[in-house]
Amino acid sequence: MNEYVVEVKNLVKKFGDVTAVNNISFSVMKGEIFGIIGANGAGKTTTIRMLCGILPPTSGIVRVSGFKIPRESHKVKSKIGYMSQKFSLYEDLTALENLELFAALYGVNNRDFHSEIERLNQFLEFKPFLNSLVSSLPLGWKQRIALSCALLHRPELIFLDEPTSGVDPVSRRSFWKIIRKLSGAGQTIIVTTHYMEEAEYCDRLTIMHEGRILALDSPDSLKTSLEKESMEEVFVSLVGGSLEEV
Amino acid sequence: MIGPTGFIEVRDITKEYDGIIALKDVSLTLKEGKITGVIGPDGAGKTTLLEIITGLRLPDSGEVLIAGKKWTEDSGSLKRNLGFVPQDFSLYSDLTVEENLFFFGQIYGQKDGTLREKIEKLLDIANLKKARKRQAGKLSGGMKQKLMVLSCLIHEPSVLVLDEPTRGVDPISRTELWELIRFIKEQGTTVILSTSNMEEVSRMDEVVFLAEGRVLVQIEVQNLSELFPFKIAEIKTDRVEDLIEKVEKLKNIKATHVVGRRVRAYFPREYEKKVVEELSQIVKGWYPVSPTAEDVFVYLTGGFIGE
Repeated sequence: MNEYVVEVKNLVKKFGDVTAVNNISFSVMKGEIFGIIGANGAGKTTTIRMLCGILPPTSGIVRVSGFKIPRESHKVKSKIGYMSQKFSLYEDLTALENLELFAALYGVNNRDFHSEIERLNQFLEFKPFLNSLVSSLPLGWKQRIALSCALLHRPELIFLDEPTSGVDPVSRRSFWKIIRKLSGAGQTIIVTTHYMEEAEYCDRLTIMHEGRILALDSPDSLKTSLEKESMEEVFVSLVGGSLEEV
Repeated sequence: MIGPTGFIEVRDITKEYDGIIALKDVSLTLKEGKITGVIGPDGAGKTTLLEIITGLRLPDSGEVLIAGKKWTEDSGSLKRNLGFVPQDFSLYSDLTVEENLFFFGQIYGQKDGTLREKIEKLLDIANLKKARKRQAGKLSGGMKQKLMVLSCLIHEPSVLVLDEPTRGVDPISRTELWELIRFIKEQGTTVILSTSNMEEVSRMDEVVFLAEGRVLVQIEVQNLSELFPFKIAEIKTDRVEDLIEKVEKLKNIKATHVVGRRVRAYFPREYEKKVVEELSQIVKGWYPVSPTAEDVFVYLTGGFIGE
């Protein structure tokens, strides 16, 4: 029935004595916008790095786009795209030069590159800015170029790391509209963030704390079941309950 | 002393950096004993505005008066009455929590005995007593943030200015930090802070919306929704794409916005009756919801035009 793009079962990652990810399990459906929410140090980044095949798990099963990690990690890499709020763009190159660079890194050939630029421009509308230096672009446009770089090789799964914090609200809304279109067209999105206003845009999300999953559901179901008004309150009630006085 | 028109007066401030306008004709009147938030995206001019208010930066034109005094005339007494927590505030990571506070207190010329008393009080209100002997470098992000705020309170300023204190801070620490800020306000201190997070508006008394160096509006938080000309219907659905298509076809809907599995439809107040009829044709139920601070900001920056 449901096609899973990501399947994680009993995943553990230890660094020496420290257990960064502690026996977590979840699945992400094709076309879903899935959130991994947690404070700094909750285990979000470690989890993502394992999903990307950069970091081998200590134990547990990870399957991404049908490939087993770590055995088939090399095959996974062409299936995923990654965009960070810190925008891994080269500021002293133009938008187009950045796109060309990422296309080359992902092995996108010249002909495909030009047709991809046309395709992406239909909904990202970046053409007027292609020849501008990235350093001169407003934040909202940098964000669109960074997203384009992550989409050029048509990944099945896209990771977004705090994609819209600090961006002006108009750009933020159009960004999420684009993300919804991508998900509607069958691309799967995983968002990591500790900004609750980004969490609200997810179809389902998992709240992580100290390497464990505290909750996994849609934002609305979490609010209803915990009788909270906002995701911020949901987070505080779940994580706050397990915090010790330090 | 309170000035005749406001506690802090910002008059016609303009500031450029290499020909790029950071602030343009900014005028504000800030009230004593309130929490005023300066809200805007990155690059809006928030930091420049706070730095000019705190006297760290001079404007190209315009002036700032705090309790009737100008930075250019009386910087000594203004400095003693003001605390500023910048974004890049650095604690001494190899000093303990109380050593840091002691250090900053001495910088402000505080005497040993009274300083120790003050430190006790501050550690108590920030719930940091148990961490007093810990090195600042080994604190959690939220605790560090609180310690920075305390370091700027040690000389008991009447105005506390904080530049994006909640940036990169998780919701738990953010809640704690806001509790501390509220407590500081209740002691009679005037608080001015900046943030890009629209959700924090509800915790402030007054907001200043800033975009591209200009003030969009300054208003009491409780009156914010009065600025918004549309009503909003919220519909929950598992089939967002189908619903959006139908809703956008309705004649009187001016804009839509999707958050998760909720579709929000915006329409002018005067069309409410028609919209209720139209919506009942395509959905079983919907809820009227209030505009968020983000809705108001998007409206003021022209985001609802042409959607």
